Amino acid sequence: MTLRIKPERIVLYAYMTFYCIILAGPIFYLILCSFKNYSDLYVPAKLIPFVQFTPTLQNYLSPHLRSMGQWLLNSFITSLSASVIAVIIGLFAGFTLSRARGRFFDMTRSLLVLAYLFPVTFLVIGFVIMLNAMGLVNTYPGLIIAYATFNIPYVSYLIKVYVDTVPIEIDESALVDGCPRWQYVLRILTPITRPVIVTAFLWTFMWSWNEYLYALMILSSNNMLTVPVGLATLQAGDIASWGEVFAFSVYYSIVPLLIFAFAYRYFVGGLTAGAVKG
Amino acid sequence: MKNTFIRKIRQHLLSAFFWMVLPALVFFFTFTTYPVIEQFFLAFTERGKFTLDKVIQVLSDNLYFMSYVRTVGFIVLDISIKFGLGLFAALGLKGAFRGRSFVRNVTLLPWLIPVVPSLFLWMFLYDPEYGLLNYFLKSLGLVKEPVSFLFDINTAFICLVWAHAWKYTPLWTLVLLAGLYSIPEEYYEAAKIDGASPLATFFNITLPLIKNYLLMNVILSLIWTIGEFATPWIMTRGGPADSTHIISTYAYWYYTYGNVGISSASLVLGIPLVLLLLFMFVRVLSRRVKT
Repeated sequence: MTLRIKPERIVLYAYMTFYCIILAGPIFYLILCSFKNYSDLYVPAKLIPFVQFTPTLQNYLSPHLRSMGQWLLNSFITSLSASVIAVIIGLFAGFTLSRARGRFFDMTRSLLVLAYLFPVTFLVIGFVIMLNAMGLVNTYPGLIIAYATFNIPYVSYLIKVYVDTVPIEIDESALVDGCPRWQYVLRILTPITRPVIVTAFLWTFMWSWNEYLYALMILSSNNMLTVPVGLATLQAGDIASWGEVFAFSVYYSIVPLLIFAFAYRYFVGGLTAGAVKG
Repeated sequence: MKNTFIRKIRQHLLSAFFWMVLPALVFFFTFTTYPVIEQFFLAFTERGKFTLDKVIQVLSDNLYFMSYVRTVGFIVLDISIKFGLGLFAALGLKGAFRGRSFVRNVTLLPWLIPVVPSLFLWMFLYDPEYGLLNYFLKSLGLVKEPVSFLFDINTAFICLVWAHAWKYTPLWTLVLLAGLYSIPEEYYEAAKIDGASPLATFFNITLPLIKNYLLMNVILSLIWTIGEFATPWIMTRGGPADSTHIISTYAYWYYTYGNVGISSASLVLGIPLVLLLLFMFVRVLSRRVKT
């Protein structure tokens, strides 16, 4: 009797199973643990109690929820604002960098890639001191400026690459009809470039939603913190149990997960735009 | 000469393009140039006078040297893990198999979860008393005593790297998959006709064709990982006995003590490393455009 399953398939399925368990397993474990109360969680891990425990919602309804709600609000405000600013500014910049000719714009195009590549961690000290001089430490605008600044280059790049594929005839016919360029961008180009605008917006939002270092250094009072910084203070001070930390992490993670679930294509599009085209 | 210059400026001022790109330029450059200059001043001057004291202090600090080395180690180990795990996953995901969409979607989870919760997750898994990893190690009989992953100077660093690489492996799998898809099927068909083994196909067709693409993305990963702060800071705060400090945590540590001079100096001295990587990226990019 011949073996019906090729050995390659066995290796494939084995690796895929391994891959899934390693990557997705811990996440499901996190969700599982968010439903465990203190006594079920703080035991030397045993496999049976691992899955046999009394599920509880108390972690999701802990008294720290009030702070968490404020932190979620702060994250939303900063991420949304930064995304709006970055996209508006980046839309015009991206369009220009796609169409404009000349040495000035060539230079800007060259600098664009270097701008979004540069790891912003190496600017953090100077940036915070700058904000301090502007009186914007521990404020929304302070953090929003940081998030918008660091995403403008990539947003511009995304839009530039996309507008490169928009036929220049559309520009020309608008110009011939006497439409000023900026109005063309707003009225005609925006609907055409809607996919990349969404991608750019979501990219900036996710970047800001995840960001830790700048939020940590710029924000100081508890009611101004964004979720990552707030959660870290809860965990570090042993103020909250792991179960609570995980439950709040679920609250925090729902947003990116929902975004991804509904805007899947925009994500992968944003990634491969940079990677494949180079 | 001066006339054409002024004319050029006037041309720009009248051009709509110029005004449309100006907000981005002003916004971006204002808020990045000031920090760069400020950090240089903080690193190289003391009370208004130029001095190399802080730079020398940083350069002669063994911890800084180790942090620098660990930064390089971090990014190299990180990409190795991502590449290793991701490559096999991408090779597998390229062809159809039952459950492919499920695998593809569910293995994106580590990347979708925000950074900070993913770190908490691994801190809990690594826990000596309550962590699953120790449970598995003990029940498989591999260790007698629980391994204190994050509290042991021998294991803390690699545990950090793993937590970070784990999170970004899905992204890397996607990148590799995109690269694999860019290879025209004809090459594979020709290889099959010639009777080439899968391994030979891989090394003689797949790899050479995506070499530049791979290299570009490797350097990209290095550049983006070099500034990583949350992972080492949240998991170990610089580690058991300072054994997990990297440049970013070193700088932050001194900042928390109010020493912005040392902080800035440590960042400024790290910038050449960044520039080196950027230079390498540009080199590979231009090579790729040519081919």
